[in-house]
Amino acid sequence: MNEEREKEEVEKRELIKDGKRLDGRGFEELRPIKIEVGVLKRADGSCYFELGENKVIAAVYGPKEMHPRHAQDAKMAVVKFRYNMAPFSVDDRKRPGPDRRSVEVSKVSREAFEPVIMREFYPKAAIEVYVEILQSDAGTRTAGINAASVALADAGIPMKDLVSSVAVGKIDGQVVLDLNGTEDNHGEADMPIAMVARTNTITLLQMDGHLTAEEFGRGLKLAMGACRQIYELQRAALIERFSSSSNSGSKSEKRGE
Amino acid sequence: MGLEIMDEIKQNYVANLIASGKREDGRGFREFREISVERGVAERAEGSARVKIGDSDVLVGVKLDVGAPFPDTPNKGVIITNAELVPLASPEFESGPPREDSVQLARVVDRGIRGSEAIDLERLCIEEGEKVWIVFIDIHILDNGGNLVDAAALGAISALLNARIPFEKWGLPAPAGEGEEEEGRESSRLPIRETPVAVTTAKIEGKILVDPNVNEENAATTKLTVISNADGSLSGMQKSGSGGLKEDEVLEMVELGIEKAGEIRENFL
Amino acid sequence: MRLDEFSAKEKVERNYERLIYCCAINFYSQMYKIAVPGDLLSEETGRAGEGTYVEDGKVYASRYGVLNEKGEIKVMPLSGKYVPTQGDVVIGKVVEISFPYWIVDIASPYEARLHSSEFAGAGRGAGSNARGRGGREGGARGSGMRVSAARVSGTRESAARVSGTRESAARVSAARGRGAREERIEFGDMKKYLDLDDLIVAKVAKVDALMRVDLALEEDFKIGRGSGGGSGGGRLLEISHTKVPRVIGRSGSMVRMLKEKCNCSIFIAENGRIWIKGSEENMNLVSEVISKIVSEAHTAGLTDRIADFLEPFRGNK
Repeated sequence: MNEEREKEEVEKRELIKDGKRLDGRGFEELRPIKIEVGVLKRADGSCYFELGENKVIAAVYGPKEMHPRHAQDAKMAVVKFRYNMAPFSVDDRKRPGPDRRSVEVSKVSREAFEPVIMREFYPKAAIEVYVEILQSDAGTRTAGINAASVALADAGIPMKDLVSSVAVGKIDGQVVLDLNGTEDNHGEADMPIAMVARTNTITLLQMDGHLTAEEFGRGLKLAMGACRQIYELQRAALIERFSSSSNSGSKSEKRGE
Repeated sequence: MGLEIMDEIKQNYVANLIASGKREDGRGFREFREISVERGVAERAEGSARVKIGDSDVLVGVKLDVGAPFPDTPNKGVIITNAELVPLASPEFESGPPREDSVQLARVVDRGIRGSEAIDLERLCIEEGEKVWIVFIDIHILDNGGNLVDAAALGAISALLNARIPFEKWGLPAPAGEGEEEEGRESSRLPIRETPVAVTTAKIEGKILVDPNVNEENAATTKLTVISNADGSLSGMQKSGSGGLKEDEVLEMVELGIEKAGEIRENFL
Repeated sequence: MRLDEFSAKEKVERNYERLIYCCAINFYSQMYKIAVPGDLLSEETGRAGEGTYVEDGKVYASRYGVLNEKGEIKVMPLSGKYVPTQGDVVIGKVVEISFPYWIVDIASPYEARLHSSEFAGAGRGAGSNARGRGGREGGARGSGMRVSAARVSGTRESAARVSGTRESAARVSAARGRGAREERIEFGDMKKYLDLDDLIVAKVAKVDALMRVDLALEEDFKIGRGSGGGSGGGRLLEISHTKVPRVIGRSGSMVRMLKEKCNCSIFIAENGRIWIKGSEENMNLVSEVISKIVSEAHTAGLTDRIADFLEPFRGNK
């Protein structure tokens, strides 16, 4: 799901060799993750997030006045989410501007956060989340959601919980965690999810490709466990940010497991 | 606005009913509304179907064109799915650039067709790297009675099953294998080998119910669309709405989705 | 009647909370405990306070900030937008004149409005209390909220730039006495009282369910024009409203130290706007120190560190 048009299955390519994936990872292993909080000066909250070769940045503006006026909600803030891929983020340059895929990703990403943001604190206002993909290698929407969670906290937006996100997929008949670009292109299924780690509540769920019901159930469990791991990293990054004597931003480098 | 207040009243009414175990139209929680499928309704299209589920009314047309394949799949045909929520279908639809709802609808239906490999795309290759058949699936919403995605997906697969490749029109030889000749027509069917069916369930007041109508959709915090195949495998899924789901709710919705898809397939495809 | 006296009682009440907060902070060793939204804080739902929510008999954090568990369980946010509540004293900037209101930006997602009758009323009130205020220089009282007006209000002519404190207060009151009106302000006259970009000190009189914010004028309400220097010697600083308690300090200790060591007058409003006045050099120093406080707001022992930092600047003139 990381290219402008849906990929078709290409010539069969061996993605698993000697029980390991091409990049050396185990079937249930996350790519390395890096999180930096408060990287932008102008935004109210921000986060730079790396997931393997993915590089994304999330910025939050708000609460702020909501325009257009007629779209205001008298009882609560409106959440706007814009996912966008930079033209240079992929091998074949992507034309700037929203395409249908970005529109869909923006929608499901926004819906991933609506259950946790306490919107009733800011009636009639808008909370704007911007996710920019600077470098893409499959799983950009999951990286974007992870970054957005941290950026929302950084902006001081009241939330019930953080949201964490990861994708599972199927390659060479095997259900695996966190597909990279090659695996996504040549794989049989791709299933991103987002979840609230504390309550195990799923707030984003999509599946593309082909899975048996049993594989789906297994993949879902695998993804949920990984989300809990990612949550720990997000939380640690936010805490560490204030453990240095100045809060000009913090770096938190973690290896996923 | 009067409309908003009415909507809110209806939503509360529906939610209260469901909390007490009932649905507005008297259906069971696991019951679809009345479904009707009519094929071959748009004669200029290579394939078409009109599907009604309750008050929802969707017309899907399939048009075939010849064009260049994508560079990384030089020997496969192309599928392009589009949906239009035309203004006449609902007071909430406006004309203008595609809104997120119509984009989502098209992409979910597309995912189901693609994930199931319903269309044998290699059989749509005319000249590798140069010419392939491009299958346009155009979804036209005529009336929004709720749960448009299930109607659209059913319309899409029905239209595809009904579609014939107009190879004669393009001066091309009949595709290898299928050379069925029907009365007066020298075209062959589109090579369809699976029948994905989408089933959407909604969660309202903690209860899971299938095929939400308009009011139920507005009252629902979350919906899950499950697209499954004849063999019970899955070829697409999409959660929508501002709520969340627990693992057991997801599994229940998936099971219900597969079960209902089987019934629909049996009766209409 | 001066600003700090006028609402001193309220200030004390309001700052009591901050006092507890600052005390609590000083009990911790170098770092405070940070809470992240969703953190489980306690099962004593009766103690749930600001920055938390209750679910299924437990208290969880709803904000990203410093955890304070003395008394109520609170999370003091380190970021976030200012949302006006009744009684807050704010510094606003006039952004629109929409008869009979001035529309005022108060550094919030919500705009505020000031009705023109408020103005006439304030004038009347001040006029009756117009008397030179001798006595105390008025160092920080409780919260250290003191205004030093850079401009005199009420009349069209711009007044002499006054740098002092008592003097200007007296002048303002006297001028207001002269300018006090009994009748309504007319449409075309609004600009004469407050024009676009004027800065005012006001109190949030009311916030309704539709988030309409009404302001009431404070004594000595007009403090300058625009932001950044060049406005008769004063400067407006903007910080996150979440850092205001730290800049004030426990019983005003921080701001009092700043005023003495930097020889500036400093007025801190709830919405994170700060009006400072002094020599260019001193204002630069205040600005720098406030930046430092803001970036270290999450640490303990800050007041001492700032005191050390200011040591070389004893009574800069």
